[in-house]
Formats: sequence, C-alpha cells, structure tokens
Amino acid sequence: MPDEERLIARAVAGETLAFRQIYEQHRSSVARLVYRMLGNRGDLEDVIQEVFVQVYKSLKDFRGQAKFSTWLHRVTVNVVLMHRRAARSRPVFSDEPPAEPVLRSRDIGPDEDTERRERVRAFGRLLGRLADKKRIVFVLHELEGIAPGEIAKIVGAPVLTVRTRLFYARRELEEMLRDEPSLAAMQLSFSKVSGAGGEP
Amino acid sequence: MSDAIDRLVRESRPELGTREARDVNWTEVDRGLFGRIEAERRAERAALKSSKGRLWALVAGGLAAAAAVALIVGKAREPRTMDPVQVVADESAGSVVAIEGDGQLMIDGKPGRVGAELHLGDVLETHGAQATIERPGKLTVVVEQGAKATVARTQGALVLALDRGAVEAQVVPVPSGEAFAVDVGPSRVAVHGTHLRVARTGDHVVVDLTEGVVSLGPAPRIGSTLGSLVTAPAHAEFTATDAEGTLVVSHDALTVRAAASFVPVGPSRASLPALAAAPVKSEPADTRPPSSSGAAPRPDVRSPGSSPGRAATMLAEPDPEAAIVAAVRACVASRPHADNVTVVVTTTVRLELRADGSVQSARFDPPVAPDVNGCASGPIYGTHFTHGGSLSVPVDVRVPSSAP
Repeated sequence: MPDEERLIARAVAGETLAFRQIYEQHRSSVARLVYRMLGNRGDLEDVIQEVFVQVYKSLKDFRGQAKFSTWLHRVTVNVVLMHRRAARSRPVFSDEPPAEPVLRSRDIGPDEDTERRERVRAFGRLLGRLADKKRIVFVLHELEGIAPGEIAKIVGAPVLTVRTRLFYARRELEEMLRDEPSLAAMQLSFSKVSGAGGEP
Repeated sequence: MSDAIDRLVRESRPELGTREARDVNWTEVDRGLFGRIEAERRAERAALKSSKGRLWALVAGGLAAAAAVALIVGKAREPRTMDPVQVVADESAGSVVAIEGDGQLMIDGKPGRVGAELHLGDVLETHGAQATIERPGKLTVVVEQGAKATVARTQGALVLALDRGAVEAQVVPVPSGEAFAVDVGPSRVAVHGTHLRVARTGDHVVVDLTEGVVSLGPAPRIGSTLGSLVTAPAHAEFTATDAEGTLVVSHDALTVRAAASFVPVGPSRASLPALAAAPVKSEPADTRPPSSSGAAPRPDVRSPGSSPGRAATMLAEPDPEAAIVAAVRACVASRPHADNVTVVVTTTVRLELRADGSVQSARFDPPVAPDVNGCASGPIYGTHFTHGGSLSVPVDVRVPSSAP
C-alpha cells in the first residue's frame, strides 16, 4: 500500500497524528489555492480551517477512486464556494476597509521586480471580478496546472463545460485588460519588458 | 492581448498567493482546527454511547428487533445449514462479474478474470482494482481495492474471511438463518438480507449498514451468530478480537457511509443465468445519500430508524441540542437530490424556551427550504430542555458527506 494510502487509512481509523501529517503536507498548497480562488486575504485562515474540518469529516468516504489531490481540490472548491455564498448574503458594514484600488500607472515604481509584483496583484484583482465558476476553472487550469479532465472531476461538470468556462474566462479577462486604463498602461510596460527580456 | 494574459498567467503562477500562504497564522489555524476536531470527536463519542445504550434497551425491551433475536436463537437449535461437518460438496461461492480499475484481482496469487468461478478456500486480493462477485439470486459482493479475503464457507451462506480492506455487499433476504457473513478475525458480521459494508484496518472494524439487520459477535464454529443485533441505518465500530465488548453503534443516518449502487440480484435475475456473467454496473458510491439506493432490493426486515423523524426521536433524550441538529440533518438528508450534487446547509436554530424547558418558538436563521422546515419542526418542538430562556443551535449539514 503506498504511503499516502496508508496515512489516509490511519487517519480514517482515528489516528490524530496521521490526520495532522496529512494536514501539514497539504496546508500550504490549500492556502495558496484558497487565496487564489477567494481573491483576498480577509477570511483566508477561516476558510483553510473549514477546508480541513471538512477533510476530517469526509476522509472516511475517500475511496481512492480519484487521486487524493483531486479529492482535496474538490473539497477546497466546495468550501470556497460555500464561503462566498455566505459572504454575499452577509451585510457589508460601512467601516469595512474598501477594496484595494486598482493601481495607477504612476504608482508603479522603477524597480522591475516591484512592477512584476504589482502586475501579479492587479491580475489577482481581475480574477476576483470573474464569476465564481469561471474563476475556479481558470485558477485550477492556468495557475494550478490541472488538466480540464481532472478539473471536470473537481467541479463536477462535463469536460466540455470546463473548456467553455475557460474560454469565456479568458475572453472576459482580455476585455477587462482592454477596458481598464491602469492595466492598459501595464500592458504597455509589459511590451517593454517583453522586448527587453526576450520571452522564451 | 492574449499574449498579455499568457504573460500575466506565467508571472502569477509561482507568485499569486504564495506570500499570502506563507504569511498564514498557522498557530491560529491549528488551534481552531484541532479544537473543532476534538469537539467533533466528543460529540461522536457521546452519540455512539447513547446509541449503544438505546440498542441494548431496544433488544431488552422486546421491540421489533426482539423478534429477530428469537429467530436467530431459534435457528441455532435447528439443523445447521452452516455446519462445516455437513459440507461435502464444494458449492460455488459465485463468479466474478466485473473487475474495475487499472489493477487486477488475484485469485490464489494468479490473475483472476471476469467469469472466474470462486470456490472454498480461494484467496482474493485486489490491487488497484475492485472486483464484483455475484451469487445469482443471492448476493452481490464488491471486494474493494486493496482488500484481501478468503472464501471461508460456501455451503448455504457464503462466508468471507476479511484480512484487510473492505467488502460491500447487497444480499437478498432469506426467509430464515443467515445469507452471508464476513469474518474478521474471531468475530463475525452475519447478514440476514441487507446492504452493508465491512472494512477492516488491522483489528479495527467498521460496519456501515444501510438496509436490514446484522448480527455482530464471535464467529460460531457452527450455526448462527449469537451476537448483538444491529438494525439499519447504523454505523458500527468494534475491535475484531472482542466484537461485543468493544462495539459502538450510531444510528444517525449521516454517520452511515453511503451505499454503493448495485444491480438488483433478486430471484428474477437468478432465473436468467445468462445475465450472471454480465458486468455489474458500478456507480461512484460516494455521491449517493444513505437512503437513495434505488436499485437495492428491499429486505424483509425493515429498519426501525430509517425515517428522519425516527432518527430525531432516537437522539432526543440525552442531549436536546444534539437531537435538534440530528433532526435537521436527517431532514436535509431525506430530501431528494441529484446523485452528483453535494448539499451544504449552514444555519442556526434560534429557540425561545418556556420556563419548563419546552420549545415556545423556533426559527432558522438563515431560513431553510420549506420542506426541511416542516420536517424538522416536529422534532424541534418535541424537544425538552432542562432550562428556559433563549438558545441558538448552529447546524452544519453536508449531504452526502463525501466529496468526490
């Protein structure tokens, strides 16, 4: 029996130590995925905690028919969706900090590394403007590198639907880039970097 | 513009969220997570203890299960169909009707194929695949991947000795006696017509019973198993070396693992021998709620606790808050929903209690579906507390409890 299967079997049998090992092995990747799908830092800890509570509750039902990582992604996606639905129904208080404004071109520092970081942050904000279903498949495919077939298992949708969502997510992101002046300026800086650096 | 997206994706892949993940306050997450897990465990232990108490009360009280007890005790005095002394013919244990997965089924160390007949003493091992065995008209057994089992008896009831892993079976009820049994070390799970799954990890045994009734106890040398009767829905755990002494049972439907979907194995199919070798269609069991095994034949022994109302009532006495949570969960679980959908409900029941502890008013915050509201209102208003005042009971339901 492979190590992972053995570890899962031990956790299912009630060994807290085994569950803790699973948690420690996967918590960083789960945290990153949650952040990418949530699009903000606000409830990150709460959602990570909820993911692993659900893992604990459902681990006994994991039968090894899918890869554990696929199963874990599915649990994570479900918890994030649940959290976002709950968040949408919560009242927004006026003293909550406003969403981070889109960066203006003149705010970008001269340092290339800073520019790149700002681009990544701005891209994260753009992703946050996509509808949940599109953002999730886009994040899983483009950022996590998961194939559409596996994403279909994670989100419980046909592969064709996943591909369609990817297509529209990309198209909407392109439109957002076009329509967003600050990012259009970023686009210019991009071309400059691309020309200088020589993209492979 | 598409190149810009590609570039943004390439830049974001290693970076987006990496720093945020590194900056997570893990001490805080650890404390919250393991605190909640410990609370879950305490609740499970409390529920299991009270269920065990109720089970014995049920048997001692001479309720519906008592009839089955009498039947089993009576059967033990009759000529034994399972007596090994009487076994003279090597009756077939059944045949392999499906092997699913990339791996293989080994029979006595050799690769097994669909259509292979199984006989007494055959050792079955699955590696990266699950095998379905059918005894036409009697039972269908899935030997899950990673399992090892030996055909321990074929005359009359089929007995599999489970060394490791899990088997799940759908058994056609027999008029009397036992139709199928799983031996786990010196203990036996004997089946009278049911849908169950038996899983073994070392000496730890887990039985999930979605239909019917089983006896759990020491494996008898001859005759029927004179152990504890467990009726569906039930999730039971015990140590193989001392089944009765270590047995804990929960009748909360949500603790019971969802049944896999099997093709019916009723008498009509038995009369069509050509179908016996046809592959059994297998669906992902995890996506099915406990009560939705539409293809399963109904056993003649009905579960006394299979309705949501019953589940709620059973849990009401020891802990009124737990009873309310159980009632809502059972009501959500009993709603029809598509196989591939996981229903998640998070709500709080706000209660106003009278001075005598009875429920004066109750509301869901946020509201739940009207049918869940209607279903749960009976058990909620029937709950009695030891105090008055206001109370909030958080409820978190996930049906089915599995993910993929």
